[in-house]
Amino acid sequence: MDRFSQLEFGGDETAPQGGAKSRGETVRDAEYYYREATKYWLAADFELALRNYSRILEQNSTIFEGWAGQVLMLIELGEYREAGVWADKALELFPEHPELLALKALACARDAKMDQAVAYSDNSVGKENLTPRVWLTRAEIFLDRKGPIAEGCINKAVGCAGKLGPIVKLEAGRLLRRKRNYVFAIRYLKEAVQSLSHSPLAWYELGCCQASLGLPEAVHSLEQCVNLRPNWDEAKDMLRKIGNRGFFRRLMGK
Amino acid sequence: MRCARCEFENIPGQTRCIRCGSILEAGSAVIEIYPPRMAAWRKPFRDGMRWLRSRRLMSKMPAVVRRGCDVVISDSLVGLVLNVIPGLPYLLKRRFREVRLLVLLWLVLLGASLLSYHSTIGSLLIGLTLGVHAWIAVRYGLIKEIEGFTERVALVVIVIILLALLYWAVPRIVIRGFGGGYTSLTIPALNVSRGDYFLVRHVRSTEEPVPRGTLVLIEPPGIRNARRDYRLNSGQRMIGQIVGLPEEMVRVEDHAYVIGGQRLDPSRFPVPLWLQRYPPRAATGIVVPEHAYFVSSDYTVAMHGNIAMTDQAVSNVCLVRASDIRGRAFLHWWPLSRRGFVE
Repeated sequence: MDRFSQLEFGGDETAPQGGAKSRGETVRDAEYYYREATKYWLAADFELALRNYSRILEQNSTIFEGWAGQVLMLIELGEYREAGVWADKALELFPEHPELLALKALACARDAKMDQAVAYSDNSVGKENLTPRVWLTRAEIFLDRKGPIAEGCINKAVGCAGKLGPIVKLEAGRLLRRKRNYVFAIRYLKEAVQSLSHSPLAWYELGCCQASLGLPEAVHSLEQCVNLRPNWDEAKDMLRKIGNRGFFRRLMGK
Repeated sequence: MRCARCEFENIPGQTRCIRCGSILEAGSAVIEIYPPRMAAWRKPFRDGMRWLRSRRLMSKMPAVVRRGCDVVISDSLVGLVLNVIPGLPYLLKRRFREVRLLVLLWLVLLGASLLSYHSTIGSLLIGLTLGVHAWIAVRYGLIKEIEGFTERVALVVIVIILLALLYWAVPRIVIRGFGGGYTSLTIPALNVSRGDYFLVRHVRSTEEPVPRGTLVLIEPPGIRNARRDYRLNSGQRMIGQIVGLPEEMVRVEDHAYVIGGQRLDPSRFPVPLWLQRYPPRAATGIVVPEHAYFVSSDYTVAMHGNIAMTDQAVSNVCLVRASDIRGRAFLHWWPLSRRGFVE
């Protein structure tokens, strides 16, 4: 399977049944589940995305994207310890893989185990064929302490993203938002939503950043998000919160 | 065989890529492909730990506390608790194959130890059962998390102690109406010998009459002798035989009990040696009061000096209040050759 070859960055379709319709019945193979997983990830439905990554491995347990996706989804779900365990397991199958090392570092960093995170990140950077994830993780680790280094890492991630550019920009925007660097985050997220206009996650992140800065565009972004995924409570809550914001809250930038 | 990662063409039969070390072919049946998940209840604990770590408070805590916190939020401790039923967490995690032989061994040992309960072999088997149970419990993950030989030994010892308490408590909670005790009597007619073990069913009411000849579990309160010449191992539970019923007169003549002038068969109602030596002297014998029984048993009586037991002392030893009768023997449990229900 050509990696990421099936990603759809354009269009506004949200239904999981895309793919091989032209050939008649949908073939539920590893590629199909990969598309599904990516779709659910971009819709911020990490639980379903994780399930689809597992289904990829049910088809073929040697597919790297399945393992990496599972680890990433566990991190997204806040299960950092499990993500670490699963990254170790994946590293047994793909020894010294820089992306897995980076994911392990990310799990450690999110779990506030910074020493381990730095060690894993250093290890991952020392490998060949570095992926954007390696640089994004490094950026996340160093953003608190050494801003310029982190900025350079994000640039490197975007630089080596290639076809994955929009997703990398989305991830960069997300990590900047997590570190409350909203101005830079908006810059990346705006670029991301141009290509990932069908992604509720991208709109949500953009909306949240805009809301944090008190920008009126936040409403539009979050409405887009809710339109794309109407059952997302978090987005609806955010939209409601913006609507209910009083003068003092706006003054305080909350 | 082409590697999925680096696309290197490997020699057929290889399991790992020669160039990058990735696995070449693996079915989902061989490799576990479903990731572990966090239980919802654990989230606040982890958030708390993360908060402490992010503020560098964890590093200021003693190592034992840090280790303890890590263990509490780990899967292993939950596994340890669930292993109260051996193999349960393995079953829940679909890893039962790992311990199926151990669980089978545990079941066999448990069965054998129950069959030989209250014998030397039985005690040995219970010990082994406990050991296997403890091993099943700690190998779930906890033993791997703890480093150092001494710490691991300490862990196993703690688990064994906890399980021993569990083994002690469970029968007392689950089968509350039952118990057991040894007898110090030898009753040829009933095929009972000194040291035999009986299972008893607890009596529900002290008002319930107990027939003569019944083997009962008693807990004598001890001799309350003013001169303190006699001492009985009080608090010791033992199996005795009901000889005298309430308001009857009990005498001992020619190594046999005489109740109300009628001599009882010594092979069915044997008189213990100590009572043969110090039979009641009064012509009327010992009168059994209301709500009490004359229970024959080879009590462990320690005497100081050469003072013969008085009738009062014998009464104190043999007259047992109905409330001190804990249960009636219903099953002759040990030795195995004499196992059977008590008539």
